[in-house]
Amino acid sequence: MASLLLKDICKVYPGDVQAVSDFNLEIADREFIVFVGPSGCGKSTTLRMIAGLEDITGGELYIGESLMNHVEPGKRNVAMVFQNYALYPHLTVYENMAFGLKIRKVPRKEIDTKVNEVARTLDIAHLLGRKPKALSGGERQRVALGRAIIREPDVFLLDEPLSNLDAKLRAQMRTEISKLHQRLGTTFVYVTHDQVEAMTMGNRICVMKDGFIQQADTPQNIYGRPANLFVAGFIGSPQMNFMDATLRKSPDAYYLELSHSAHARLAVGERNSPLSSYIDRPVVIGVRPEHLEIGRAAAGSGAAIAGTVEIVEMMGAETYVYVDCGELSLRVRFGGEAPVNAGEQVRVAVNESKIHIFDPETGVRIP
Amino acid sequence: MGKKPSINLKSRERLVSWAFLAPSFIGVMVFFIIPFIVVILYSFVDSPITKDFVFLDNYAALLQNKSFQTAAKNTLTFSVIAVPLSVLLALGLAVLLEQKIPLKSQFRTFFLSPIMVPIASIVLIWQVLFHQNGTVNLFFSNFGADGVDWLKSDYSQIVIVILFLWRNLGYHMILFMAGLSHIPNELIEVARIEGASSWAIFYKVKIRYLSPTILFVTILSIINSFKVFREVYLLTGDYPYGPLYLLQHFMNNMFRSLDYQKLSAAAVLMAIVITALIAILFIAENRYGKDVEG
Amino acid sequence: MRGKKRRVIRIVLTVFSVVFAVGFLLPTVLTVTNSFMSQTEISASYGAVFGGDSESYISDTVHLKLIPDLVSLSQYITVLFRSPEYLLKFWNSVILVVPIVVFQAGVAAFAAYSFSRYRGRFREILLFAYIILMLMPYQVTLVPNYLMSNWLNILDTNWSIWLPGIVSPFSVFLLTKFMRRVPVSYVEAAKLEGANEWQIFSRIYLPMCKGILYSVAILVFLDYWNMVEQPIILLSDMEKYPLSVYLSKINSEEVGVAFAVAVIYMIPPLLLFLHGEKQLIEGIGQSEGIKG
Repeated sequence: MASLLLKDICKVYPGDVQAVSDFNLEIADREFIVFVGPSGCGKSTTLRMIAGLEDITGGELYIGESLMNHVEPGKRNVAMVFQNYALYPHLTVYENMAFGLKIRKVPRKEIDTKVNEVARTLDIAHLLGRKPKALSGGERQRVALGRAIIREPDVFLLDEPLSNLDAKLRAQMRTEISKLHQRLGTTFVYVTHDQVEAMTMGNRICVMKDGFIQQADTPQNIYGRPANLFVAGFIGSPQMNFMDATLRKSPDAYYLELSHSAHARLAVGERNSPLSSYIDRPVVIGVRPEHLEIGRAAAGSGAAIAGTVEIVEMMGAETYVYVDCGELSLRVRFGGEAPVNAGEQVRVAVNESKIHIFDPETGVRIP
Repeated sequence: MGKKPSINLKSRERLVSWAFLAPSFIGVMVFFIIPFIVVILYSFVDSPITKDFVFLDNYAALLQNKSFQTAAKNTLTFSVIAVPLSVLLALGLAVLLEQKIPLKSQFRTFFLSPIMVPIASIVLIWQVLFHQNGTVNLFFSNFGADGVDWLKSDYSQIVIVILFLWRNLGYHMILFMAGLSHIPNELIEVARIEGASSWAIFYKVKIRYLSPTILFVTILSIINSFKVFREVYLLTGDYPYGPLYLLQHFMNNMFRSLDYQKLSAAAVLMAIVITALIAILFIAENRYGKDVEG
Repeated sequence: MRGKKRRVIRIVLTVFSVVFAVGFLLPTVLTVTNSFMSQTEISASYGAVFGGDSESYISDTVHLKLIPDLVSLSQYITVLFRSPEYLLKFWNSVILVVPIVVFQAGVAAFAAYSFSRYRGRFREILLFAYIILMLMPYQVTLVPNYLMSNWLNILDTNWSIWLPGIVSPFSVFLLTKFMRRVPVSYVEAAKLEGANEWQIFSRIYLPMCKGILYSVAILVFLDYWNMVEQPIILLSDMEKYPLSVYLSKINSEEVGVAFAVAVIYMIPPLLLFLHGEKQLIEGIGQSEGIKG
């Protein structure tokens, strides 16, 4: 059981390719943290640096109290589940799980006890005699988990373990991994490109892009107060709606003038000073699909945008409606069925209290 | 605090990996590379003892040597005949075994069987076949033709070509079969859907995909065609008749007379020729088969 | 109509295959059956080619017989009990070939492991040199071998054949090709479990290479079981010759025995072939292509 500290970690490949930069993160003991981001954002690289499979170009890595930069992977007491499981094909499930213990010269009897115990926990006891190629994807996954668990490591590293499974299995394994974490109480570091996994599994999420941490926080905060445009757009499905606007000040309040043909004005009320430097300057507004409402085209208030319904996607429990508002395409989420049809003229109303405002150049959130 | 490593993680790993490489590397250096450098040097000097630098004199002497010329010509002739034949026939056999005939794997075993018969063991039958009083002549005499002492005639290479093909076709065939099996099935299926005939499919699709294999089999054939000395030696001994006098025979004579100059020059010359040949084949394959590499 | 055409083609192709198969098998089969002939019959049938006992009957033309008129084990008895010098040469072959097979595979496995774990500049150049070396015929490689053997004073000893054979790059090339296909995640998983390089090699790579090692061993065996060039140059004492060379030095009187010896000599490769044919074919298939 251990905490991790990554201090100014960076990774540069030959040819000056900067894969990870300025990575600072403290991971508490027993925490389940998810690194999420698009391909190439550096999440796997960082994970591998923690594992010791990649050299750390700069910065310091601490597991527990110990500096681990130059410690061999085998001596860091971490375990890893690979994307393709990496189960030794010529060994049985039993032998795969026993491998690490055998290397450490653990006595036969103890190995036997442990393997059987772990196999029972993961419900793979009936597979012990089989070889990996005789197993299904889900079964292999569990063996990979078993192999990692059996060494009772300080940290669990998981590199996109669910991406090779079909959707149904993935959903099932998600909960199983979460339960595993609760049961074991070990620190979990989980890498994925799937934001659903990130949101549902982690105590905290660390969103990465181009080698930098964009935001590291709880799922609620990441969802509710995204730190920049990228995080706002990456997390949340359907994606957040973005609109260009200009901030104006009227005698009693600030308001936003949407730049598009939409011509609407949104009141933002009193906000703190950071907003004041943006008066009469362009900003970017973000609104989540669930914070938009559709009403019939009628003489409306200033806070509604006119458009035509393009597509209505029925998901069952909810409905996504795509509205074409001239230069803007808005995504709206409805619980249950939506009372609109394609081709209808509608007005989209914005829940002004749920607006996120971002600097158009840096993408950073304006609090 | 953490441990302080004595050597960096990565460099210790590399050190160990060199240890794995060492036996092979040292062996190759000691028995091949270093002595070959000496051979190159020897080819430029008068004799190993006096070490007077004579530049290309040895090569000139070599090229003017009648035995060398005969040996080189014979070896070349043999390769020129045997290699294309073995590539084409092996390809043919591979294609044959791809068709819908019964007992495919048995046939495959039969075709491959010559590889495991020691040359020394099979030589006897070959002599019986091709001797002056042998079976082949017996066969021809039925048509009124006179027999020929095959191994002592100008047709002697034919015997060896047949022997060469007999031994090597199976092996080359397997290589082609492996190459054919690597052709993605989808391509053939698409071609078939688009109405191409089997012949067209063969020429346009399969051959292109086979070009690396064709290259490989050709190179292998060339190499094996030089090894044919074994068959010749076992059939005819130290002093074969005319067309069977090959480069290795020449080299043996040089070894016997310890003619280091010619020996070195010949070795170096051959090395250059082989390397050039392989380079040419590689470039040809690159040009022709580049797009199907995958 | 098309069905019929297909059937005809099928039959024709099958006939072709049978003809070829017979052609390929015949020499071997003949050698085996002829070994069961008695001396008189051999003299009679083959005296025209090899000369025979002056006493026995020789027909004026050769009779190549598939099946002996009289099946006899006399040749084998002669070889095994009365003229064991052939067996000694057989033993020479074994002594020369087996160590080469075993140790070439071993040295090559180590080297291939090294080549597959790292891909530095030097290694690639070295691998390339190995490939060129592997393609060089004996005419080129015997000269340096001879020089070095002379220098090390091992000419006319088995070492002059063993050592170059053990370090021959052929196996290294094949094994490297195979080992490089092992996904690196196995190595990483093993590292995380605390395995060192030797353990990764012996517990992960080697077991995975069993099949290819076997076919490499067979190929090397088959090549060296037939060796001719090296013994002629490097060994001057005929007593040390392996059977691959010695067998050709039969004189006419010993034709019969020669068949029997030839068959005996065939047994080890035959056994290997029958046992390992599947692996052999797979191994040959793996080696296809020099690039990649």
